[in-house]
Amino acid sequence: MFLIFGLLVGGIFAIFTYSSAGFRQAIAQQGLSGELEAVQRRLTYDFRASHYHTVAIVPRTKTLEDGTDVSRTAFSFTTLSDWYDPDRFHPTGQPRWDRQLVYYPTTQESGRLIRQLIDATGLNVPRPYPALSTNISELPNSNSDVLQTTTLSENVLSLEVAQDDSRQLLDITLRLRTRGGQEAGSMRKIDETREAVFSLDALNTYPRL
Amino acid sequence: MLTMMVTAFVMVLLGAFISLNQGQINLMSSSQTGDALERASQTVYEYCFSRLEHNKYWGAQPFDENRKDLGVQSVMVVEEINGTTRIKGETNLDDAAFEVLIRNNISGETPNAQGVPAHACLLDIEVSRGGLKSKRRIQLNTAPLYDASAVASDGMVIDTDKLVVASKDPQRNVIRSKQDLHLKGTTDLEFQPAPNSAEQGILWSGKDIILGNESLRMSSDARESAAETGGRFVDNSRTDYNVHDLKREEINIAKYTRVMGDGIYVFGTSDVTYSTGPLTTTTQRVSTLERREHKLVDGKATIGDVKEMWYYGDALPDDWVADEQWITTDGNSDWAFARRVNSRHFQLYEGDELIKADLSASRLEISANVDVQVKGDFGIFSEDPSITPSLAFIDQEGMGDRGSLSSDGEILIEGVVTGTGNLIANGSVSLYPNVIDVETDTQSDLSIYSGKNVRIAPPDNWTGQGTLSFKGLVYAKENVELYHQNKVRVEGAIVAREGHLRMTAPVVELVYNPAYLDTIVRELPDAQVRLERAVWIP
Repeated sequence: MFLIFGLLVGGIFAIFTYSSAGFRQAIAQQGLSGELEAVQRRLTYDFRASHYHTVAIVPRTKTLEDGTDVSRTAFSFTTLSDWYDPDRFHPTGQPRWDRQLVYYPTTQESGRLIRQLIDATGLNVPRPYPALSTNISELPNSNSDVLQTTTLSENVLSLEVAQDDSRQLLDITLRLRTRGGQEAGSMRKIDETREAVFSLDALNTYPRL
Repeated sequence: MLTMMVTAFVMVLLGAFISLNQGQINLMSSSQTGDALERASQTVYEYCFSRLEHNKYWGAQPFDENRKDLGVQSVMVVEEINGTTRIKGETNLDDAAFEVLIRNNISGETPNAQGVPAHACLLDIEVSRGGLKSKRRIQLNTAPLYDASAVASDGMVIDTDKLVVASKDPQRNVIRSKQDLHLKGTTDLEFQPAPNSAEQGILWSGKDIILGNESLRMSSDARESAAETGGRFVDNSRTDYNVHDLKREEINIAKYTRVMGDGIYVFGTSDVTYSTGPLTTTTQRVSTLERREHKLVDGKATIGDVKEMWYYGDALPDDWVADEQWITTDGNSDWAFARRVNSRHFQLYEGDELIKADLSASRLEISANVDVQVKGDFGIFSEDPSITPSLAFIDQEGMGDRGSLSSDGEILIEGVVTGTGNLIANGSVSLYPNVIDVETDTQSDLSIYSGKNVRIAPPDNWTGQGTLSFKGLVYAKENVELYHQNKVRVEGAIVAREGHLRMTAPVVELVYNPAYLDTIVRELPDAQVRLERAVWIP
């Protein structure tokens, strides 16, 4: 009787342990997926209101602890301070662009994805951000002309950005990674990685080619 | 007991799972609603876009009743709201409610009181579902018929030392080739955008852009040269670009029509011999305009016998002939039906002010408000090298319509075209200007429509200098070819819809000017309009 009960409790404990590890793993996976989706939505929303020909890209690479080189590209595009202020538009209806949105991952082992709103008052016409390469510090608050800083993720493994002029789309490959999770059913430590590959369309690109 | 324990354990696990993933579940639910709002918003936008393209006056005035659009009820329920310029409804797929405020100024020539720019329409789209709302403001602009100074479907070759790509439109400074775009021998490429332009200019190609002999795709040197111009070079583009297939019926012609005989109209002189006594004859030289038989194949003319003739001879005795008679002329003619005219500047058809000829200037004149129709080929020519014939569209005050010359066959003019007008032909249009400017009057413009090819080049062996300057829309269903010894300047747009564009000159200037595009094309029927999205406000 005690043996059976002991086996039962042991079995339940094993199941609980396995399930708990499985939950942790699932939570990590889903958390990463959710984070990835949230970043993707934020980027899509921001870029959709911009102009394709204002994209600036600064390619950067990071060598990880295991010697792998990964891309940590910074990029920016224009936006507007107030979409419902008539003064922010030309008589033709085109926006008088006055902000730059900068996205960049920092270069720690696990990079932070920074989104910064930069004051570009007086820009007016759709032009790429000329100072992008010099205004993407590892300490985001030390950057110039920053109006707002948001950290979208602290788990960036890599960020690749490419302009596809032939389709006027911005191609993004973003990989997030959480480190040191435990695999269900074993004591092995594993990293969880999620990748999103997507293209962004700037709906204020005018005229379109 | 065991069952209860297992059940309780499973419940605990399930509860923990739900609790731990609550954020994820909420995010998923929110994402689904967001996606549904996005789809609904897009559906509503496309509905409004379609309605406006089919009726540019839609929503320009308040609706006069509550009216449902039954044509789209499988997709959505839409109702125009009486006394407003709003519509409301629901989309079937996503079960989202929407309301749209339409501020339509498409027909306006100036910004309206609501701040909507001329030729534009603002749509304020609000969509809601499950307590979430989404707002969009979208500006639609009237789209230009052609958006580049040069457009070709089957390749573009510009053989020039210097190419200037310029524009009068701050939004656009582009040349487009759906196949290769080849700038042959171009050492100097210069972009001249309109003031307040956001960028210098764009060369766009569906295939390769070739600078000299080097493809931009293959040669880093070529890419460096391109970068130095400050322009953008978009090669191997995968965006769809449709070159509008302009139909002859779409061309704006004057309300009055006249018919002219077909043939080649030749300005010159003829020697007329007549009796002055029983045994004596006298020969007088008279100025003539002859309508000749011809063979015209893609711009190459073979001139034949005289079919009709107008002549002026002030030295001829008044009673020499009757007003109309058959006379012989020199050269290769036989007999022709001739009309003696009393002045060098005369009506081609008596009593009709709309078509005249001037023998002093060797000029055929078409009034501004008439479309002269030729049931066959039409040409203007001179066999005398000292004579430069011309076709003039006379722009008289108070005449709103452009003059035009419409031919069922080909048009060939070896001479000058002046004034504001259209040359329209089912076949090829060939211009061989033998003086400096095709277009000497900077206030006017000339547009060309050809159902086949357009060829503009000085006559063979011509050695004159100056600029081949051209204003208007040059449209060929097939190929366009322009040649000059010195400089070619085209302001407006050149379109080779299915064929190639070839230009050869030491200097080529292509200036995009949308003002010249609309003049040749009549408004679309039934209040239709072409629109494009210009601004998207989140």
